[in-house]
Amino acid sequence: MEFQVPSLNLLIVLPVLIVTGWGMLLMLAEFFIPEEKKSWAPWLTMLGLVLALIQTIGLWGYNGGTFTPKGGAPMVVVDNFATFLNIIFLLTGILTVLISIHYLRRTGLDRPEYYMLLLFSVSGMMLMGMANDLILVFLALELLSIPLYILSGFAWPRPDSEESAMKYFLLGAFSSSIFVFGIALTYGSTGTTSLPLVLERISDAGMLGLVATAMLIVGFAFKVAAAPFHMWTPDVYEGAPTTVTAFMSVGAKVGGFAAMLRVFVAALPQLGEAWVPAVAGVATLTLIVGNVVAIVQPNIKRMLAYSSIAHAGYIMIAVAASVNSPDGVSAALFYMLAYLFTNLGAFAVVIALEHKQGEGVMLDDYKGLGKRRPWLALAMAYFMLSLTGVPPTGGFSGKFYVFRAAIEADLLWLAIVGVITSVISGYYYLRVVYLMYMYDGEGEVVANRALVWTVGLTALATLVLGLLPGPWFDMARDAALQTVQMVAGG
Amino acid sequence: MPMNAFGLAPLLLVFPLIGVLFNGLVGRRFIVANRNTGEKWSGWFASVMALSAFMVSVLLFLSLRSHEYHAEVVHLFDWLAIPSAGFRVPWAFQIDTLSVTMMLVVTGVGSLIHIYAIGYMHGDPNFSRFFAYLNLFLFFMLILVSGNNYLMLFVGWEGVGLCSFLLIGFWFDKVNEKGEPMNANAARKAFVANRVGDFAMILAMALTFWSFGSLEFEPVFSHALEMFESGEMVHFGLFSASLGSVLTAVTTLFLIGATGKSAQIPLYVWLPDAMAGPTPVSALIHAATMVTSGIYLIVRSNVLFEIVRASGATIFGIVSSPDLVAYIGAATALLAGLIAFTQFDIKKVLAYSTVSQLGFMIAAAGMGAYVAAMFHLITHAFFKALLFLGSGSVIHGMEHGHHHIHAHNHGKEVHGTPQGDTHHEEDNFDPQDMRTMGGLRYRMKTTFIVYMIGALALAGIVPLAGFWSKDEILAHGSEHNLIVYILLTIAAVCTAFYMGRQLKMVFFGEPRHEAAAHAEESPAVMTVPLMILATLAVLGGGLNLPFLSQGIAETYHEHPGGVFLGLEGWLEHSIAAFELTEEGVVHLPETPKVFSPGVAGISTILAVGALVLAFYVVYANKPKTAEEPDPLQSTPIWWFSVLPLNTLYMNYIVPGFNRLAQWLADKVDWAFWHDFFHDRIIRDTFVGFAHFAANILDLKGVDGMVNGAGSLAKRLANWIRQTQTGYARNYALSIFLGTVVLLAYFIFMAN
Amino acid sequence: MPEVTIDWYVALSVILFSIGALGVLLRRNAIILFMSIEMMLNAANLAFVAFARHLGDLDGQVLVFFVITVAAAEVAVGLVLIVTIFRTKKSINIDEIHLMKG
Repeated sequence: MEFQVPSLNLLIVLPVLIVTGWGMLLMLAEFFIPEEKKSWAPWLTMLGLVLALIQTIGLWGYNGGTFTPKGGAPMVVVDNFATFLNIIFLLTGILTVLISIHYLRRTGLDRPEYYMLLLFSVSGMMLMGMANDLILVFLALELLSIPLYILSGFAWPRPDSEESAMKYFLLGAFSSSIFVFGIALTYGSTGTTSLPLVLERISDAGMLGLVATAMLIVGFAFKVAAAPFHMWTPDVYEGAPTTVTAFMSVGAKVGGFAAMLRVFVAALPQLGEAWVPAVAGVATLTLIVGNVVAIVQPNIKRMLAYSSIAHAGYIMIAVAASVNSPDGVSAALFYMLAYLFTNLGAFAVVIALEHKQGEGVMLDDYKGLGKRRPWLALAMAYFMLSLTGVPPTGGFSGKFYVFRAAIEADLLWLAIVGVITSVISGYYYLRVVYLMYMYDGEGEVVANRALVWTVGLTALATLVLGLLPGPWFDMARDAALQTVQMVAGG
Repeated sequence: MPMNAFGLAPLLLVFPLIGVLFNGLVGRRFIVANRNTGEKWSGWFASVMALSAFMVSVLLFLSLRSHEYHAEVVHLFDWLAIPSAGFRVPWAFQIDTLSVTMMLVVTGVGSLIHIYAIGYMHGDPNFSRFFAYLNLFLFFMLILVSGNNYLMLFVGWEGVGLCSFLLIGFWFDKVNEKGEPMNANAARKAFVANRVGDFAMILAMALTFWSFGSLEFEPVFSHALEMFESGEMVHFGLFSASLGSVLTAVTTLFLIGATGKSAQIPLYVWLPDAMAGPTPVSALIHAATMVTSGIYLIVRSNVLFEIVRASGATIFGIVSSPDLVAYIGAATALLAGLIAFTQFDIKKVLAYSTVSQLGFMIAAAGMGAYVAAMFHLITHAFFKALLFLGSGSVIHGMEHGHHHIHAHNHGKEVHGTPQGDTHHEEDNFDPQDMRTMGGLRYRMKTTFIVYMIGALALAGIVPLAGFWSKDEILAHGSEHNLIVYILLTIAAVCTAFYMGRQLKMVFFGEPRHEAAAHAEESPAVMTVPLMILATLAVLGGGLNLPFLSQGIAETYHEHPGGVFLGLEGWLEHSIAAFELTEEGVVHLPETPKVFSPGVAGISTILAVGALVLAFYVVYANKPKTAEEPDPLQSTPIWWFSVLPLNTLYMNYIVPGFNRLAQWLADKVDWAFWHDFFHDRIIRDTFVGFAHFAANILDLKGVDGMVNGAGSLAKRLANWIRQTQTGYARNYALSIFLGTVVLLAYFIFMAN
Repeated sequence: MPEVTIDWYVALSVILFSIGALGVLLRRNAIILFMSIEMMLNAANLAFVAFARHLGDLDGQVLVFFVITVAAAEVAVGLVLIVTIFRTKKSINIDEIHLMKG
């Protein structure tokens, strides 16, 4: 038997290689860097992420794959869909580093492992968007998650951080074992784990294929924090260091959706009749639970956790719409882009108010922020409006595209649920605005330059996405079209 | 780069709706927490929503431009569909030059009025509710003008009626000297008058659908044209009727609808009373936008009217329906112009003037001068909004002056802030009475200048906006219908005269009351919108100048005769330019006679003459005191105040109508119809709604509902929260159960 | 003696998976909990191998190695977390960690 070397084109996976390799290099370099120069770590990390970002942007428009076994489809594909998502992940990484620097120092968590783990997690996320094989999806999922488990517990021996890590790890492992079982059943029913081949064979897979689909939904729904698989979210978000919360509220969620979109829209559209109502049902439950329970949360990290659950619901709407509407995938992509800036911006403000770890995170601490730090409060108000979905914000544009896609896909009722829950969400988002401007209060605000820059940049990006969503949506549309072509071409 | 923003059309409705939700749900809380900041949030939020809708309109305008003005239908979803009956009404937006023109006017003038209202409503206890209503009004008005079918138009039509009702009665607790709830009564009057028109609208829609099988504009019009060309009859099951007579019925019913909404004879009586509402409402709803929807309806249905005109069908052999439109418009213009002479209330003068100007537009539409009607609609929106807002500023200033002397007399500080039209003083000072004013030009300079511009524009003085639009109508009249022309010319003279009278009484002479002597200029948030509107009132004529330099004409729009007609060229894309002849439809480039130096000269001379007459002759030195009678009181014109048609109408015609209805109900209706339909459906529904409105909406306010919904949501939240126990194994159980449910569902699907 | 078909293996794998899932739901000791999760993963491995054998395809067997590797990594992280928690709490009872709720 002749040994076949799979065709390799490492250049197109260079961004992932840079991020992973950079993480390993930093790990080694740590031994040689003297203690007083350890503060370089964030900036070195940033350099790696920026290099990868440049390389990724250069890949825009490229459409191809690599790691192709003989007679099979490539395991890793690089198309605009993957590139668009990789840009989101790298930006998430960069912004997280920016908001982390000062926070880690003042909370005594400034250990270089933080940034390495961040890099590994980012590389996992990037693979989520590029994976064209279920087993690679699983590997990417774990590569994304395991560093996050450790990062959640990064503030040990604080009991809440440890608890957060424990819960996240336990439930994450539980759900990923269900996910693996789903992959095993897919393999059993179709004889392959390669997505293009799954697409060809799934219609003959029968009931085993449907059962596998259900288990795959569980795996993704857990990662993106959709109800009823969401229950870890508030506890983990509350206990984890706030920068980690910010990072995973965007990165892990977008990562989950990246793979979910590719698997469900590209490989399982024939089962759409079965899974679209299921996803729509999950979306409805998620929207209701997330938006309703957020109302009674006194802790802003917990409120934003429920808010992130709710936003998973909105993106789920787009996923459910993506089979019957040409704009479903692009709406989801655009929504995630807007969500990235808005949510990270909001978390940056939360971090500015958290002067000591675990202090300043209650809603009451936002009283009078409008007078104390008018610009910061204005930005926060803007982020809250964007999360609510009030124009002209990126959040609004995203919701607009998502609901439009839902209506196009004959899911009018789902769009109505979305609109109603958006109205409910105004109740708790605007309460933050209300507290900031209608009351007096005092409390320390720590905002260094990197943080202020982050807030400014994210606010600007949210504004741009709100005022001129067109070009960005066209980009998302390009990205989405690529997925469909890839699949159609086999 | 060709621009395509048509997809944004739904945003037109989204923005005002967000404003409604914001102000309806949380606005009050902001105000309760902090009066000043809260008002800013509430008011500016609503204004920004209105401005955003305006931006969308502008984008739609630019998109139309880059698509060579081709009408676009943006289909959102099927609204009502009964496939078995072939009934299908989509929720779709008609984006063409006509609807975009209306959108621009509605949102543009609307935005300015929103901003103005922030200053005007300052201190009102129901500040946020007011803005919620204003945004709600914009929402419905935009449905009205953007819909691509009669049903959507009707939804908007009903909706703006509701908002008008709510806003006229905004200060519903105000009573007159006799202790009658005058604002609530005025609101009810508007409601009843509009019901008559709405009933006609429903009949018209039913008839349209029955005849043409659709309610969408395009299919109805093209179907009607086809039938006209082929001379087909309209079949209603067993019998059939000629197209002309069917359309005569439809258009006459539309006309009745328009007389209700646009305050024409015989249903005009509600509009002057509607001035009980806050002044921004008078400006927005009862001058610039809602009352023009009747004109929009007629212009939109121009194809139907033209077919009737061409078919020669008449109502009982007397008059054809388009001619009837023209006569009613002209008669209203003249009658209302005469009544305006006898009014002392600054806003009532403007109200009758509005009725009169609406008559001009209706008359123009009836004569087939659709572009002229729209032109006058736009310029009128500018200068009448300006005048109303200006009068609001005057009232505001008078209130201020009154408070000043009041505080002075009592030697104490003013505590409450003066607010709009409300006057809770013990004495009978009426800040809207022109007899107590005078000499305000020194105290309120900005208001004076902009008011002057508005009044001159309304009077039709060259080269302000009103001159060009009014003249286009008159020129049309002189060509096509001499009776209408003469009526309208007299009405134009009246306009100039009563505006001269008003200017003189309000701004010139000496102050006739201490309040006028101490009046103060309004804040910038009020005067800046006034200045913008004044600019528009000056330049508005440029939209459709009958002559401009040859060069510009060639650059922009070459019109036969080298005439530059911006609006004409723009609107011809939605107003069909065709002539109906015996041979069928002949499409013509529209070349109406638009400018005649003779007509313009006569009307200008008459207008200037009337102004001079009012200014230097009749009211030269009068009145000197607030009590002095009006110099016109000894002339026949004043008979209107002794025996105002208004009173005549309310005393004889309305009771007659009621008696007729009673007789029909008793003698003609059979028991089932009467008992079941009237008592069960109409009355019980109405009583139920009134009960709901009175108990839930009015007493507890929207706030009550919010609190109810809020506590419900909180209860639900706390209930769900119970499941979030903190035990990791519980969370695992949730995942497990979720998986089981999903598996069960998928296995169920497989079978 | 009946022939051992693919169905038997799949059934066994489902049974193992269910036992593992029930273990997660019912046991309180964190270490036993992880063992239950391992059992679920190995149920999947069994299914992979059985399917690979049934299909005559080697891919399934290769996949098992990936799963085993990931499981090992997970266990490493999990044990670290348990040790950390044990140092603060002096207990590895999973029900004793519920600081955050609601």
